[in-house]
Amino acid sequence: MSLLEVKNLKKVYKTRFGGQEVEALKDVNFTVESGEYVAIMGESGSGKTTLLNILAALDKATAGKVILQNMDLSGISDKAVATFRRDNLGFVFQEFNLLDTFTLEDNIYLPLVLAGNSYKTMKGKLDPIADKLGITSLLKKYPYEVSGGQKQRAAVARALITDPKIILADEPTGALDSKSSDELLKLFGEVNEMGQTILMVTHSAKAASCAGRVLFIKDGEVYHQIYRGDTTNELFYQKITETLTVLTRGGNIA
Amino acid sequence: MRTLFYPRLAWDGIRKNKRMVFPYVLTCICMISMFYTVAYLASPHTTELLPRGRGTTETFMALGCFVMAIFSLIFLFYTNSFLIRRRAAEFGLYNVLGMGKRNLAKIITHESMITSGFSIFFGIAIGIVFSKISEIGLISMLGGTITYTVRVDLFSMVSTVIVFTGIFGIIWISSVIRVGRSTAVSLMKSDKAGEKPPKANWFLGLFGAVILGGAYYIACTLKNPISAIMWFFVAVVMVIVATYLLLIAGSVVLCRILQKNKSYYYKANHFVSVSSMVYRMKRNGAGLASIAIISTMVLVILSSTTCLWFGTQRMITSLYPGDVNFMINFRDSDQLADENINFIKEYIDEINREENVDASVALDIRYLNMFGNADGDTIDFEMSSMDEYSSDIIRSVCVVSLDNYNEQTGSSLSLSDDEAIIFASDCNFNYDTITLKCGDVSDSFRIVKPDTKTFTGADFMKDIVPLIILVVPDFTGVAGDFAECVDADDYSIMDMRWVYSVDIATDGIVSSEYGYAVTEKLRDALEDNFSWMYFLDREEGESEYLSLNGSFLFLGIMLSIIFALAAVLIIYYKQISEGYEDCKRFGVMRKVGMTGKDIKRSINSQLLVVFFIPLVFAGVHLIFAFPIISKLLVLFGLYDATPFMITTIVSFALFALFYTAVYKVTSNVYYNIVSDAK
Repeated sequence: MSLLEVKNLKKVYKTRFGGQEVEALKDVNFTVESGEYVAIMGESGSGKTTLLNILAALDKATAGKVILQNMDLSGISDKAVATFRRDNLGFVFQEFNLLDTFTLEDNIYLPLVLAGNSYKTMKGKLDPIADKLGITSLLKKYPYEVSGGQKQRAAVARALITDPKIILADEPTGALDSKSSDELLKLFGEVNEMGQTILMVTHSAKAASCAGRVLFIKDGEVYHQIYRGDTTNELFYQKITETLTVLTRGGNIA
Repeated sequence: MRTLFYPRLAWDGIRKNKRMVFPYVLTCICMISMFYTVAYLASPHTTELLPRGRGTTETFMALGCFVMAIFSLIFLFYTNSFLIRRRAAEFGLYNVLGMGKRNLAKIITHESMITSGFSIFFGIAIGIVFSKISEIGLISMLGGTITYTVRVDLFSMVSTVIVFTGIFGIIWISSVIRVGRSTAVSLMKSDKAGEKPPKANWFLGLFGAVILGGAYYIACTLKNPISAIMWFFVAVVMVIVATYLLLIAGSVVLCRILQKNKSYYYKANHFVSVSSMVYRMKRNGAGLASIAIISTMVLVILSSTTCLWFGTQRMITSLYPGDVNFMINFRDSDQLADENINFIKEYIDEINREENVDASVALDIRYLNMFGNADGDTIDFEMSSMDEYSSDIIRSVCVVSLDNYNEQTGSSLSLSDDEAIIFASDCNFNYDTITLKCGDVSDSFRIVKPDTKTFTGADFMKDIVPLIILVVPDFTGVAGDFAECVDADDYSIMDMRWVYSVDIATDGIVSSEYGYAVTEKLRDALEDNFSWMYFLDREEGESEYLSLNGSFLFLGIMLSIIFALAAVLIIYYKQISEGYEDCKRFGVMRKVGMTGKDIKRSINSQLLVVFFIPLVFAGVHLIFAFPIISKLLVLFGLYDATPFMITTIVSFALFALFYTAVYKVTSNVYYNIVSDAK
């Protein structure tokens, strides 16, 4: 049984005055197994973000199903959806989305506080994670006092602390310099090795080359996918760029 | 084209930030129109309409204007400093793009000119409308003819423009300095960074407490509100400043305590609200202080004016015991003796018979009135200067004979020669004996408890000076002992007064004509044996007091409405500006798993923490203002503090209800803004 199953997913946006319909997702099918590290690539406008929003239950699909561990996302009521997100999903955003009003520590606690955990349990969960991410000394600082890479690490800690079934990352390296990007990707790799399932949307081939599998989306459909297998990051990176070239040229993949 | 560069940039800045600037300008307009209206009501043109109490009203309103100017300065200064913080990122960007501090200052200058010009213009325009409405209401209350021509009081307008140009000037300079002192990076970051606690927070808090203590001390110890009217307003200004200091320092401390208490802080409903309170702790404090001050103003005005209105009837019966009240002041204490008084009474009866008037006696009191300084149980009537009349130990002593007392109150007390009954309701006189002294003369009495708490019918004896009524068996003895000594003194006087009130039962008699006729005849009959004589007509007094207190009530309600509107606006401003700030944050929190219910709970939690603070402050201020205001009410003829206590409590309850409603409604506005976040 797969951890995440996406079946015939379709999303149609109507323009504001009801006239034109825009098909963001046509027919998306894929599965993610537990412990996998999957990257989703595609050009801008290919429907990546729409897909992620639906997976995150931030948006509703027009048709099709998303099943997370036997649970149908479309069947969750509006009321329960926030709780569902909190309990099952971890998010890492391009813009970090840390709150200025909280210290890094409190930012990381936020989902747990909402879930009603006590300070002691939260602290117990935070310490090993902060240690691993190397942000222990920064916990008392506010987001505007630390660098982008440090913010993103705090955001990762916030995603990890709920022990989610799957981490959804939306262009996590998008706002980082190359050094911080490398560090973050390394971190994702390590987290994945510990058994955490990660689904990352990116347009960076470099970021994608760290994943175990890359899905390519074009015109609202999964166009192609490649597995890393035993290849190194460099080789995998090459394969990805080749695929992207073909993808943009519009030819067929051999 | 080039010359228009800065104005255009400034205008763009305002337009783009209209969600921030609009509530600020609205607040400015409200403050200005409030100021103009009060200034207008303080102008002689308006106070001329009042039948009495013109001078007092004018002084109060004028000093009220001063207090409002100070309040506006503090309030607008704070509001603007938060606005500038929000705008700082934009200025930082301009700075990065190559604008010098000088250019930024130019933009700020143009912006200030636009917003202040706009505010002053519309503030005065709305003020003119308000003042006209007040004037119409006032005239109709006083039964005058209403004109609908709008009058603009030039003096009020000029003072409004000057005061607010000054306030906006100070705000402008502080903004320029603030931007001038910071670097581009700190500017760009400043809207993200939380507020830093003020330096020396403890000192500020302590300083505030000391000032407040001082103000309360002044309020409680002021004996004579007229001579100390300046002190009264000093106390008011001190209370305003102290409220700001205390609430800002206090909210910082409160935030810290709440945040340190981990089991409180890390709760779903407190987490977000406490952290956003910490984030803007100073602003929170300033907002709460403004609300507290306005609430106090509303409560003081509302409770005192309604109390005057509801006390009118009481006031009339105590000041006018009968339909017609004759007051005669004799030259010689002998004339207060029974024979002489009975002779005059018979003479009046004779007039009544001649004129066919059926008059019955409502009150007949003879008393001596002297002013003296209290020292323990001794009252010394020797005065060294006129200034002593405004000292704290001055007492008005009224001496009444036991026979007269028994006759008027229907009691049948008897006293031995060295005994006396004492009524000292407005000053504490807890001694077993009382000694009256003047030079070498002194009389001592052992105090006997009276059979009632108050001497009914003696209300008109009251003065702003604390009163002691002494009932003695040997009235003429006391009068004889002291008359000579007191009269010999240049500064003290002894009044030998007779109050004779009659009710007229005959129809068709105009009481004022009757009173006039009787006094004329008495003047002739008594020849030169009295120093002054007049009569008070209840009917006339009644209409005068009704219209006077009615117009005070009207002014009070009008001012309360204006202030309450200002309070609503401040709360609304707080919710709106915080709503837009928090909008993005709540968006993030929703993504992380916050539900709509969580948002509501967190709003309610914040409400519970900060909601009651201004009310508590207003309540405490009110308690300390109580003694001084009840003394001021005496000036207007209200001698009993009980009705004032009742109206104060009722006003407080009503205001609390109103405040709750406003807070609820505006917190919905906040909720709608933040829950729209995507």
